[in-house]
Amino acid sequence: MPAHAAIPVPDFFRRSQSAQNVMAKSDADKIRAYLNRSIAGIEKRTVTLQDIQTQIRVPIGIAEIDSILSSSRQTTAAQGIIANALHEIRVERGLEAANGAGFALCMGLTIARALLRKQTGKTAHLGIKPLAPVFWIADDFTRSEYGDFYGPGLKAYGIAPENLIRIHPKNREETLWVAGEIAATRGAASFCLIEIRGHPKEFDLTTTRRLMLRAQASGTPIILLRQSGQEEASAAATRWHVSPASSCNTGRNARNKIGKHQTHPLMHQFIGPPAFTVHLEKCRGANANQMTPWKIEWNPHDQCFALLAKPSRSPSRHNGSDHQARAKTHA
Amino acid sequence: MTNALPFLPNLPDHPQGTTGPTIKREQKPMPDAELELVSAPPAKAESATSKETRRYLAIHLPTLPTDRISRLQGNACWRLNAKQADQERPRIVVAKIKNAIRLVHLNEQATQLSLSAGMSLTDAKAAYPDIDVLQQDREADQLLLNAIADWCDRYTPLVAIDHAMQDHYGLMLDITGCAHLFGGEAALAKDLLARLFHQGFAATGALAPTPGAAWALSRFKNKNSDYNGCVKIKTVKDIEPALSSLPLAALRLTTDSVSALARLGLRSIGQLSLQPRAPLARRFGREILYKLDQAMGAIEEAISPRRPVAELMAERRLAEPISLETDIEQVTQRLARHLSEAMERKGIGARQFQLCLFRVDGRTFYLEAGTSRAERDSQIITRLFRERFASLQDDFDAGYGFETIRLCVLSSERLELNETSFLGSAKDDEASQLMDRLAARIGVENITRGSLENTHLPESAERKIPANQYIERPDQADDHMDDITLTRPLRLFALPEAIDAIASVPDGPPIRFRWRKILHTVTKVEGPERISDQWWAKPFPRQTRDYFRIEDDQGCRYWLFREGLYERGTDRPKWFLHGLFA
Repeated sequence: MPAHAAIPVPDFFRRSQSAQNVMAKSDADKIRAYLNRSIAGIEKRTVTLQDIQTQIRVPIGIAEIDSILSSSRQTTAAQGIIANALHEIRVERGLEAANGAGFALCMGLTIARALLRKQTGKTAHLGIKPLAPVFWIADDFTRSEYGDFYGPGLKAYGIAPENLIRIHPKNREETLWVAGEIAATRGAASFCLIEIRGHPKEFDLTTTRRLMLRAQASGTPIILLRQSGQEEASAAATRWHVSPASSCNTGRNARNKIGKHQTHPLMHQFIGPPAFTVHLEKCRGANANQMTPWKIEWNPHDQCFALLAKPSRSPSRHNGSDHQARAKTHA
Repeated sequence: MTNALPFLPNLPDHPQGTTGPTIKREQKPMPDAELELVSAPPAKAESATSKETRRYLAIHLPTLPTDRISRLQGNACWRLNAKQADQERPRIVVAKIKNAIRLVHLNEQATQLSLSAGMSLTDAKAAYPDIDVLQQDREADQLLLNAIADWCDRYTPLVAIDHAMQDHYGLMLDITGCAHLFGGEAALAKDLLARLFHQGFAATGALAPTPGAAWALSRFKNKNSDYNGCVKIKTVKDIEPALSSLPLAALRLTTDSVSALARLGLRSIGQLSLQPRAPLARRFGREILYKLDQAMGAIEEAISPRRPVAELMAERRLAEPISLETDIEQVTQRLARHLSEAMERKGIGARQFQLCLFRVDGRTFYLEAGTSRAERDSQIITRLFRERFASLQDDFDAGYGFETIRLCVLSSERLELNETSFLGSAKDDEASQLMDRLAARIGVENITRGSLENTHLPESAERKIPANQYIERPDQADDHMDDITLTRPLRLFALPEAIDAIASVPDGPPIRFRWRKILHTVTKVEGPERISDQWWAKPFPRQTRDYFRIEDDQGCRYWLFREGLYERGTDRPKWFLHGLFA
């Protein structure tokens, strides 16, 4: 990538001091990038990606997680997850394949929509129309082992079936190549989901680092979904461990679903919207002590995350106390 | 790879004991390293007016089946080796014709032994007991002929396989406008025939203004003279004197017609053309006169080229064969630059490219790459083919190198200069170029989008369409996003996986099931949703399915179904897992 392409003229020096908080942050980044470039020019070395690229942070919609994702010194408006980066999501067992994929789609969509809102001011509420297509890269093994994405089911995640481009490479080298190409292209994908199994050598620290850099440069969010993945080092900005969570059907989603009868006796038997137990295992610059599993729900109607249970020290899959916890959060 | 025929094995580096001409490029004064931008000759458009100017080269391969065997047994250039060629034994190819095994093809040695095609095998064996007899393999011969036709693409894009008569192998080349690249049409024909000879084929050729005349002359004019010579007729006026002494079979008539005419004492074309036309037509039908007129040039005859004629092409003939990928890429880029200039002049952009690589030993590779929108940037074209090379790796054998490389535009669209809009077209450019690169590398069929179908059957509810065929309509509303449903899974297995399930009541949902060797206990159930097959669509409809949404004690959600109904459908309904919810 030509290093000089993305640098604007430093007219932001002339901007008024009373800029908004968000603007101040991005201006600061721009100024830093500009100064970096001038220093590089004086020192006669090539401009590296770190010099020119800034982290774009977007909120994922849950205040508690957003505050943990970004380091403490940042302002509230700049809190959230890094959009132009590689994020890793892993599930441990094959039967959790859909949970991992569902969380990856929700996360990708949330990031993509927040990014769009931040950059253009447009909102992509229901449906993903203003957004670029979503790319899903999965080889044949992954598809047969964990199932294909199913168009009618994708609707709940805000993705029209036509807007999901499915790419099925022959082998892992091709998978990596395709991922690299998409990651390097600006604006082609609203986000790219790479699905692989385990920890092949093609997706080691070096290659994930390369993907990370490309994502940083192009601004395309990349999500690496590892099926049967272990807790291993990679260059991703965050790593999430997703496991299933029993769905909760008494919340707002359930009300939408079965009307106004909030206390229907049969309600507890129904299956609620997608729910996940999410453990943020790795996050650059965040406090490791705070990382305990959350129980998160995806609201298909409003297309946003909702926190069902506050983090507890012991990861628990039983939702005996969840209802009380949820009642608190929704109160 | 569009064509990977087992055409020609590699030539030996030094043909041993060669007395004849050696395979050296210097032998023919070829215009080496000459870059020509050839606009393809118009296939038919102006044929009516420019009849005089069309030139056809007919190639006849009389001993193709036996040559094929000789090439396999010895080496490809066995004809160059005088010793080997002399020691060649009489060889015949036989096939079952009308319940008798008869001779179909003979090599030159067998022809000298007073054997002829159509003779029965027993007669031939009685006369020459130690003759080589081979079974006819029409498929292999046809494959070889196709490969030769591919090879002939280097001379002209209009190469047709001659189907005039069965078991007669030949090619018809329209060399109009191509001859000057090879130093004239005589030089072209000489070069082509010499190269065929070097590759171990006996071939005769003829140049004429009509395909019919070329066909007749290539087969009958120099029958007893040496092979690999070429006859030539300049204009339509010269056709009649040249053909008049030839037998009637030269008109591509059926054997029945020939023998019927022979009974009237008509044996040569000259005699036939002197006859009054009306009685002939009444007695034998229009066929004979039609063929005669075609040969004489009174009726237009079009040949049907094997490959679509490129709209534009640029090619480079190289002094030294190249085999490195970077070299090929460089040449491709240079060709692409020439093409893009030509396209700019015409105001078009290409949607489909083809790269033809002619290997030294006669094998031809065709690589194709498509774009999702009209392109004429040489950088982009080169990049597309770079991905194409990368995807081939193993199938792509450069062997002794490529001597000619040609880049064609197979289909194009109007492309105005600097056609950009104010609304973020640079972004669209990058996206469409990305899609083209991906398609070139991993194949168009491996990049799909989904499209919802109006059906209840879960398997057919979504159809996969190639991503490049998807046309985005800007006014397409997100109407189907309104009915957000949670009743369909996120992931669906192409084939439902059989599970063991225990239900509390026969028609009820399962309380426990085993999938992939793990036992799951059901905690929440929704269903059943009964989905029947389309009874009107198939003769044997599938059994009705009852789908259940299930959540187990660990919080995983599944889409199960029971195939068949108790008491009505089958005795033992089976359970399947069809999909997974998040």
